[in-house]
Amino acid sequence: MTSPYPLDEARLNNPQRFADDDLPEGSVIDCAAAQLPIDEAYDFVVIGSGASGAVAAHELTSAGFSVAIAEEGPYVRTREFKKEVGSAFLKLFRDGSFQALEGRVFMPVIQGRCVGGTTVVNSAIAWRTPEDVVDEWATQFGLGDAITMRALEPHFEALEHDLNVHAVVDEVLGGNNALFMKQAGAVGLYPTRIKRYERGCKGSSQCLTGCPTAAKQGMNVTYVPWTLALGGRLFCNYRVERIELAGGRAVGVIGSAQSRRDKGTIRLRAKRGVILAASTVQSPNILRRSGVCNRHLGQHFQTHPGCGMGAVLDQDINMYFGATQGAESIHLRASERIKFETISMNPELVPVRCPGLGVDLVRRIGNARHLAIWVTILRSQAEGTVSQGWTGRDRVVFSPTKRDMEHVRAGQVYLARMMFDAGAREVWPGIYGLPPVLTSPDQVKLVEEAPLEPRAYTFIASHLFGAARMARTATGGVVDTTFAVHGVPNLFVVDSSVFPTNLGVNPQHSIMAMSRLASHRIADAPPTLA
Amino acid sequence: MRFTIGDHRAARITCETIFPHDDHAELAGAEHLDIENFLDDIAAHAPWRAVLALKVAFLVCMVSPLLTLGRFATLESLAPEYREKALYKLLYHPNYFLRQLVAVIKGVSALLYSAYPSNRARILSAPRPLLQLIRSPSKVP
Repeated sequence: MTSPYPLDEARLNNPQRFADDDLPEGSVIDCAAAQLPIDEAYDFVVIGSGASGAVAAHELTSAGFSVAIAEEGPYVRTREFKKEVGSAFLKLFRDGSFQALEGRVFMPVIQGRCVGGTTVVNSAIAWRTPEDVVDEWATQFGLGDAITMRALEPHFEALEHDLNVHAVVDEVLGGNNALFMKQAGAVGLYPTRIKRYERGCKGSSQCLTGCPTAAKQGMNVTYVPWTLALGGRLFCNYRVERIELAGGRAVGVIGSAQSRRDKGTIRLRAKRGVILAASTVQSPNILRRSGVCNRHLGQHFQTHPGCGMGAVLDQDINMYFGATQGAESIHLRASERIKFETISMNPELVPVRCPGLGVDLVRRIGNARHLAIWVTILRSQAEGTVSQGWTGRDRVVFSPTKRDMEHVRAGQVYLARMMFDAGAREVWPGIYGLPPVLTSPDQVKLVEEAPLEPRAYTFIASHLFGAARMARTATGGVVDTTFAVHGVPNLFVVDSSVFPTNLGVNPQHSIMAMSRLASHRIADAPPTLA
Repeated sequence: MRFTIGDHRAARITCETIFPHDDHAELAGAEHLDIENFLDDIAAHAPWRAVLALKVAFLVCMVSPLLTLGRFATLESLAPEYREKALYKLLYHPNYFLRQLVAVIKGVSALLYSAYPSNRARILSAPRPLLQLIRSPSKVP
């Protein structure tokens, strides 16, 4: 179902206006400044406004239901996005960007905490769920005909239409992406231009700090404003403490406002259901705080750890122009469980990749126009756990396995070789135990023999899965194939915490399609009265 | 949790060691940065655990001469070239947690360093010939 999107048409007709400039009056309630307490009733309450929550809210509103969205973070409008990474990290990211996975290795986690969620700060990459993954879910996890490519197909198509998915165009390819395309093609990795949700990208290379032109079709400028235009309401700066259960059914949510001392209660009652879309890290703990018990809750957490490599070349690469992530290769996804991507870092993030410190570090920063950065993304086999720490914080424990590390190392060998083939003067492997800087192709053999200890590598985790996985019975998982929590009517989980496994490709498209599929099933189901 | 004057002082010395002024690179050194306000901003937004980790990191950097050079001295008491040597060894220390602490400070202070207007403009400016480095690049510390 596609709505008329009056706000988006207004923006297209007037490029000086953004979709989040003209929201319907009274549709956004900033709980940090609102009169408390609040007690309101809706058909559905959606927790989270990221990829899954925004899509679910939009579909349910389009189907004629009254919907409230509860979002923990603020609504940062397009006009408020700044180039500086520091202020963006503190304002848009969870824990001010200091969130990290625990375990054998310290692994920062990229998670947005604002209206639009991580879609505000990611590179908007669209990948349909690979068929082999859906087959694996059907055969090994018993989902059978509940989640099939055929069931997901119309949702992928609708999303691609709504969010204008297309491959990066020549005008904004940029030097970093173009070089990867050339080198990966030369070694037979069959690179492709990344498909993104985008309308009129200007190549500002600021995807990670919020798109300043609203060209990136994040939820903050698409499904959230579209939902509000259709009558939905958004409660931002509102942290949901727990889901209210009565007679064993979900009947609403209770929480408090962020950033204020008077913790007046905010209660949103749900006549038809509560839709949990707070992400893989937060959803399991909200379920726990609400009294949901299941031995799989918080288990089977998976991710895609990413490990970067930098190179200095003679020519001008200029990562500061072009698509932040514009080229990729999945040629080794099946055999080595790895995917290659480019990433163009903002000037503030470049020193993190540069080796050393002192005058040499400063001079390497001075050479940053000559820098290319490519990444190995691992489809890890390891599983972790999501729990609640003793201070109430979300705690994720995850460590890659030895087999995972062999795959990562294989990926880094490919990248080092491709960089030297491109004529790199320096390659920065970022692997402890190796020289911080490699200057000769002969030194690629050092990467081949690099240690398999996870602590020798620098990882970032950005794609999160599992921890409330789907299964036909409560003995196998937390939610059933209608996305309802086993044994708790009217409580649904629609984010990537229901995924039985990780994907090996970027997950936003799969998350949105699954959420859209779930919303249609929920909307079509007969009401279960509380 | 807030940063103290002692934390501010340690942060300044550490950041100035990581990002010194260099005429060749035409990049302003960390002495121009408003480190104190930046840290206070972090303390206002980040969870207390992150602030505590940064405090520990600054403390460890201050006593790095003892950990890396075997000298019973603080970073502040050393000449600039020895400060760099002490922190460099800590950045590549065999102990994972010690080297991560320096990496965290490097990452956090980079947010301020590269956002400094003249530095940002220099990084984004038209390409120039590659700058020569001081140290032999392949040398393991």
